[in-house]
Amino acid sequence: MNETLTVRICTGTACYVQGGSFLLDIENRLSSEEHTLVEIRGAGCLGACGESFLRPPFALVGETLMGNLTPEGLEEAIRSALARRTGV
Amino acid sequence: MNNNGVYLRIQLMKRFVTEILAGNLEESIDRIPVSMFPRAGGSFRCCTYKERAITRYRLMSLLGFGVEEEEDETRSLASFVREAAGRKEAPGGPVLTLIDAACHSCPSGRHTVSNLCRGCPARHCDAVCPRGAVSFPEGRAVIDHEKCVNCGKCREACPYNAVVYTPVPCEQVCPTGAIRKGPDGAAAIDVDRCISCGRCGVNCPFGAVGERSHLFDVARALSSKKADGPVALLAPAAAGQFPGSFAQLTAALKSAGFAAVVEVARGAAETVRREAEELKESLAAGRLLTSSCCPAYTEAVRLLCPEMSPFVSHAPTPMAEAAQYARRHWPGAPVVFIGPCSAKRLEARRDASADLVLTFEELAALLLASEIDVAECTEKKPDNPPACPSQRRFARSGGVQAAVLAAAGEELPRPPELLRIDGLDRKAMAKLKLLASGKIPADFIEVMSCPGGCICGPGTVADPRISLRRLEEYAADERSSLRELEAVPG
Repeated sequence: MNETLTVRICTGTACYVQGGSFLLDIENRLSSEEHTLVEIRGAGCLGACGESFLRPPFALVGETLMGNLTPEGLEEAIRSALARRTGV
Repeated sequence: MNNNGVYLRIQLMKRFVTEILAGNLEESIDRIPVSMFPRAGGSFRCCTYKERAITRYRLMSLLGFGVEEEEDETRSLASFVREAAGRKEAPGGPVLTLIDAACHSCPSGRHTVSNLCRGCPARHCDAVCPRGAVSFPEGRAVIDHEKCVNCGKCREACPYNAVVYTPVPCEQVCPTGAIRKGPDGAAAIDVDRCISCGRCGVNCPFGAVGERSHLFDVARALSSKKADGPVALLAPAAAGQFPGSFAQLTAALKSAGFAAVVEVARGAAETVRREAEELKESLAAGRLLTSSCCPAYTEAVRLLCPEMSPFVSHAPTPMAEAAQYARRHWPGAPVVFIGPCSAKRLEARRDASADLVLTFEELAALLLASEIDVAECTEKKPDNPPACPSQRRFARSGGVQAAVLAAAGEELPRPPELLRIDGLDRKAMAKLKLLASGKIPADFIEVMSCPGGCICGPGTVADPRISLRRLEEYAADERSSLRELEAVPG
């Protein structure tokens, strides 16, 4: 059995006001089965905007930093991270 | 809303404020369009040169000027900075300005037949068309736009969904028909019909509608580091717009240089008291009463539905009340209303309540430029007595009506016939006329121009679902409301 996938959504001010708040509703996009496999957490500023060529909003899906996220993009990223884990 | 256009707008505002805070705007402003869009950097439109031209006009609107005012295309932005620095009060003129260089001149909203048409012999489209606008020159349907009245019957009738309607987003959402295409195809705003609700700007995918911003004036007041810095009036809709609590946002505003922060929701106490009294009187007299705190609505009444004006409540708005509180306690300090609303600029100017108005989007840029992370601020209480939950719920649709009814309570002579206009669109405008003439019966109407209420206003940056949830948390926060109410004198 795999351990749960941790998703950390950046809630620094820069992310939150530039689309990050739209990511916080992600729980409602996942199935109840997916909920048991994923742990979603808000995170303080990930400090990503200074270092990355990507733009806000950011989230860490497992170990992967993702930027310019939309709710749809985050949903897809979570699904493919889950698929990679189960080797499907 | 999270899209590229909003991102670029915030980034430009952030850059703009950074230069003001550094005391450097006049020297650097003419370079901003080029440095935001360098030749090698690519663009989102036809070319970088167009992006730069549009950025120039955006900077004009950030300085408080309307694009329509430009008389000399060669005039430097630096000279606009000097002119803005010389003014003593908020920029005048219409609130919204159309950046015609950014306008895509969308073809007028019309029905066309796509290549999905199979040219079927049934010809439902032709059968239902009331104007005979459909013909079949080469075996397929073609719509004559001279005859077509956009009724949409052919679109509904086609079994292949071959008829498409291409709307013009700004015209589509304007409740008053104020935005229309000029002779050159680009949209123009008719100031005699515009109620400054800001819906056109939210809906334009090209970002062609700007506001005469007060950001320059606010940032300058903050950077002057005078002892009596500006006082912020923070609207309840702020609750979900930033990470962290309302008290953390209060602290963030103080770090940014505001001398004091007034919770606007508290001002609703007087609004509710007065409106509840008026409701008792109007019910007894069998007269209609409508809410008055939405400035886009009251402007719509003034400009386009004067027959409603006898029924609009005379209660002061929460902003007006909060501004009075600020003037009493911090005389001489500039008063800045921070909210979700573009029409509040109009209200503030008209009744001289607040000196300047900032949207949450503009505040976001200000906080980013000042490198303040709200979630990391240590909570500070606002500088006026805390508001009650029902007053904080003014920011959502239904909140005003609920508060007034709760206050009027059992003293009402009979249960009032209630109605809510949650979002002012064309249909709602027509309905207002019917209500004013008594053709639709009602006793008490709450009108909010933005569907969902202030938390969905044009100056917001957060997801409305999250905002609603967090407004409720803020409203229900007993810790900062009811319990302390007894301890602090009114």
